[in-house]
Amino acid sequence: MTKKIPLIFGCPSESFYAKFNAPRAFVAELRPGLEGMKQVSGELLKKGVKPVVICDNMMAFCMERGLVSGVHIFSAQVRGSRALCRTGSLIAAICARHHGIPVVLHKTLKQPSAVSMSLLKIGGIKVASAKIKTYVPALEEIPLDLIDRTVEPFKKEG
Amino acid sequence: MKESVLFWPARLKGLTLFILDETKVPGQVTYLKVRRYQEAIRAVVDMKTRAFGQFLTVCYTFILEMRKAKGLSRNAQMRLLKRVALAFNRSRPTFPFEEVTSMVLGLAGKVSSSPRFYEDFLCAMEGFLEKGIRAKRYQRAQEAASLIKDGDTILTHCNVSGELPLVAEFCRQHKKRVKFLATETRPYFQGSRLTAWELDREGFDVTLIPDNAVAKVMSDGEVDCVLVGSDRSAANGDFANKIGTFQIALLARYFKVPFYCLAQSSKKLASGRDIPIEVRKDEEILSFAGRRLAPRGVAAFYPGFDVVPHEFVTRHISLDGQMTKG
Repeated sequence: MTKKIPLIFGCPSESFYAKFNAPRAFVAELRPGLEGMKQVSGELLKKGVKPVVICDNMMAFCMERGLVSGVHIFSAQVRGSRALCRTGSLIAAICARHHGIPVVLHKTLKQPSAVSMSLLKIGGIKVASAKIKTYVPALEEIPLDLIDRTVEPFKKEG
Repeated sequence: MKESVLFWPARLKGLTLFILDETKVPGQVTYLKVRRYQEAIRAVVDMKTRAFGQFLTVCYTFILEMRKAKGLSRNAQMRLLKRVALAFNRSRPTFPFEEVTSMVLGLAGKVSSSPRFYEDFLCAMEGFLEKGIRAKRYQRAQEAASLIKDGDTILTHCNVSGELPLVAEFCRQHKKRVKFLATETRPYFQGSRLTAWELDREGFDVTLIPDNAVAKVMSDGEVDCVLVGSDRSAANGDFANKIGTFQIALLARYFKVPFYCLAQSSKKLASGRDIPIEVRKDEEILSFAGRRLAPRGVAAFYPGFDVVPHEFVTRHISLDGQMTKG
């Protein structure tokens, strides 16, 4: 892999896909529900964009190796100096800032809810004992000073 | 002190090497039976064993093959050891197989002029493992425990081959209450399957989090320190570990959380830039246990390891008991 490509972390809205213009994109898988690997990748494929899925823990590596051109994160709620985003967006933003990679915040009309909150399974297959305590925060706040550009949502007329 | 099964995940009995199949834990604690070095290589390549298990597998395979070669000439035995070394060196790129096999061949070289070459080699290897490595790992765990304060919550990633329960046990002996946050460690879930399991089994407080929640727990002030293992170190203190470790180190620095690394120092490579990073098949991300997770047509990128630059490390705790600043 030699050319820089964008990294998508989160669940975009229709307007993002309509405007997104890149032949390939990294897509963070989004544990535990894998919405990135499943829904986001599926939508990109429909638009003719080749998705390259990475695990959520691989973002900094890809940035450090110079493989990422920009980071796209998503929020339906901006309050004061903070945006409420899908958990993991803060990792993407901090790592991008460290590597001098621009972060674009796309405002969405509604916050997609996580499809699964269980860490004990993947694709229906058990990976951890049911006795193990888990903590799965769905959302987290991103300071807006980590954001380089904000894109307003596309509103349908009428 | 009771050891986790992951602390010493390979054992040699007679002419059979038993390697813990870490891909089956926690569902089953089963051992692969290995009788030829080629089978040991297969276990490494298929990631049935990993980290310290790989080190033990290499060492025990040399002992196994030497035991089988009893009665052969010294030259034939040395040729066999070199053949085994070469096979391991070609197995996986990131783990320092060449350093381990060179060390074993060096040890064989030292006793090669002895009239009891066979016996002396086996005796030296067994002593090196039991009295050397085991004792040093205990010492390292004790040093790590000394850095942890009463009430601390420790975030960890992947699995430190059974050493974390030992650290926790040393803390318990010193009346320090500690909690762990374990990342699940995609795509192989070593955090879910191994770390959370072994800590819970030994009665320690552990909570599993997704890899993407590390910044959230740090920003909420829930992490007092990070403690991870390492697969390979460079002379300048950079180290390679399971993919995701660099991301955690970067976040720890951002949130001013101390970052500790259980390391084995090495001078073979000048810096982390010289450590080769294994890129594995994308199917290992897109499928799990043979079940496809992603839509057809989707690609993936799976670097198995990453490198943490030394400046991100608050303390290296090495096998020789030294604690050095990053």
